[in-house]
Amino acid sequence: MTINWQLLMPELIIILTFILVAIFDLFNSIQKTVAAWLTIVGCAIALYVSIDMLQVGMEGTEFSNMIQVDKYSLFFNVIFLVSTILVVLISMNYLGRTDRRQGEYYLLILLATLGMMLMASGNELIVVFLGLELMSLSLYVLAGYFQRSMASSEAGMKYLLLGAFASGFFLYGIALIYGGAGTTSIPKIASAITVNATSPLLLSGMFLLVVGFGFKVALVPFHQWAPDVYEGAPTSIAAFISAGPKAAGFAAFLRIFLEALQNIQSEWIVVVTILAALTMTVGNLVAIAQRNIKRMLAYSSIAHAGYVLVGLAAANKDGISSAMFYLLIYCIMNIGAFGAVILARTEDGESLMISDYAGLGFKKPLLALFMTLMLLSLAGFPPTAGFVGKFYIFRSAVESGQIWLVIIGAINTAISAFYYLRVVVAMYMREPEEELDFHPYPSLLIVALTLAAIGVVLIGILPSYFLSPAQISTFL
Amino acid sequence: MELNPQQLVFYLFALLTIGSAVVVVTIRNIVYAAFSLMVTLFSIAGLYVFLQADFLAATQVIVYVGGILVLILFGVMMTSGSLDLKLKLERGQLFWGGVVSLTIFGLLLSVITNTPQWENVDIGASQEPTTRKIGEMIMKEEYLLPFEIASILLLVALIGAALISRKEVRDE
Amino acid sequence: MALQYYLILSALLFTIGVIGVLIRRNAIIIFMCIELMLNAANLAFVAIGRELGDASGQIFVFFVMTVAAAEVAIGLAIIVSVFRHRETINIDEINTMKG
Repeated sequence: MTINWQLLMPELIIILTFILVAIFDLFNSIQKTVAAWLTIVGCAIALYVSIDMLQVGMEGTEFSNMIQVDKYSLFFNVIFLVSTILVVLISMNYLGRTDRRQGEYYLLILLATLGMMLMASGNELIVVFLGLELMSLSLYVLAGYFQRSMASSEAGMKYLLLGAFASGFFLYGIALIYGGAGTTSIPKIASAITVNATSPLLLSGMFLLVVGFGFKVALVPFHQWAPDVYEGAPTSIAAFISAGPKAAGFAAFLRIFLEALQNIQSEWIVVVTILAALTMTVGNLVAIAQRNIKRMLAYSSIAHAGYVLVGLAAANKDGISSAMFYLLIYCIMNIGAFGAVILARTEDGESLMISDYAGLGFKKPLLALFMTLMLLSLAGFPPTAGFVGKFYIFRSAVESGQIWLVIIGAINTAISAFYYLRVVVAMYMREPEEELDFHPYPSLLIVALTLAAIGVVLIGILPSYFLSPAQISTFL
Repeated sequence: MELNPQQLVFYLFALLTIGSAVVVVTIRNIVYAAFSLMVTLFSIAGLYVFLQADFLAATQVIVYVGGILVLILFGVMMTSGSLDLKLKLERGQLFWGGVVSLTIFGLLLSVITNTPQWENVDIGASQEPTTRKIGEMIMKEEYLLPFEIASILLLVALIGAALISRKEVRDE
Repeated sequence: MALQYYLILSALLFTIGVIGVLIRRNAIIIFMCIELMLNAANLAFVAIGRELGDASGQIFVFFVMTVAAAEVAIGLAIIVSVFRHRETINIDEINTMKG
């Protein structure tokens, strides 16, 4: 068997980086940051290679059709690698003060990234499943990384129990689809469906897959784990969980439902539409009631999963490309928002209550500026990236006739502006209740936030430059 | 209804599987639950033999019973001074759990029984061992990549379990 | 035996597992119930694979076993570390986070 290794370059670079980090970590206990820098360099090279492959338009299947490298998977690789680089940048100062060895932290981040890449390029349900598990297992450990903190261990356990439960549904769904279609290969399922239209086994398998994905990307009503996990996990990991893995979940979700199950669209589109409406509405409404900023961001990220799902409900080419575009924007701005939370650290931990942000606008202008920019983008104000992302998603839904969903989405955007702006108002217009002793700015965190801010503004001003790669990268 | 020996054995294993699974879910003593799970796993291995998956049946016994179950028992012992843990079943929880699960089961059952194409299709019992075929499919043919991913997965488990269960040490 | 019988058995096993996860509060028992769910899926894979005359069904089971083993290893490590913090593994009592 000859293998075209060129197709798998990004994955191979990640594995190579993993090996290098592992070796360096073994022999180097003095310089803690070496592991982090190696990770960043490795991911940056993989990112460069992915973008290059995307531009050349390299496509193909490998390992007897187990893996499908195409522009779609490469575009998602870009999303994952950008998120990983940003997360590593915000992690370095955050972990800097804990005295743990940090090699494993970056090793697990690398393996989680590899899992995401496999999910996006898997051409066989079993590969998608294994990629999903690779990603999830790394994340369970990372969520419980702060061993000394009860909340972190708890977050790890909750995430693990619910994640494994979801995997059970996902796997049973695969088994039933295997029974209904006689295969687990995504293109073969698509052709099997045209032959014998609706095998009931296939249909129930499909619904179980929706439940499994629903848990993994935190759709209402399968979202309960998300706020607890985000709150308890280390903030840098909360940023990581909310970004890349969600994008990876959607990458597989979109590919399976719009490629393999496209011919039975009429069966699942109602379910997806209802889930999208519910997720947006519940996520935003509950976010209003939150007083802890990490929980608020958790509910906001649930609501954002709802917006992305609108792209799936649109079920057309534009729907996919706008969902991909939105996921790119979402990852950057969400990591930015969590980064700003890390930036606002006091001597006795993080300032996590929204009331603690009062008066920061004048005391910590740079922090307040970053936070404001990210929150405005999350809320979808022009000229930020969040605005153009939502615009294209809703436009694709209008094109496919999902007017009601767009109306619900628009109402939700208005609702969400309320709680995002509340933080901004607190920062600029309220007096601080007590004097908090904030940390000085860590330099790398500023770098990460500056990168995220540039991304958010640049995409907002020049959307077509970033949207057109997404538009040519859909698989439909 | 006349039962031939084959059917009799199937029903026996099926009954064992379901019965012990119900015990796992309902019994209060966690050690009994673990042992009941062992019975379930063994009877599933028996069903695999029935399905002519001989190698898989052996793996089931070695990996599930010998590995996973022993690990679970270790977990039981490490987390409780006394082995008898207080477990409570609340009414509301029982009710909703029952409703949700029975809905799922009803759905699955109706789906399975309504699927037309399988009416007692019995493939001629090919008794050759599956080991060779499985080995070739994993190592030489299409399943090479998943096999590699599975090995990375185990690496994650190794790193993760060591990281979490290690006592926190300050280096320097 | 016909495939249907195996699938009904597997559906039953899956349902029992789901019930267990929903009604039990002990983390280790929940783990065992998740194992029941995975085994139900495995049984379905093997039965369907045999019906189709396709060995892939059996190979999936290998991968699922790997996943299950990895999940249990990490899961128990996390459960033990939670237990170190608090001497309970009843997940209703583990709830410092509310909201």
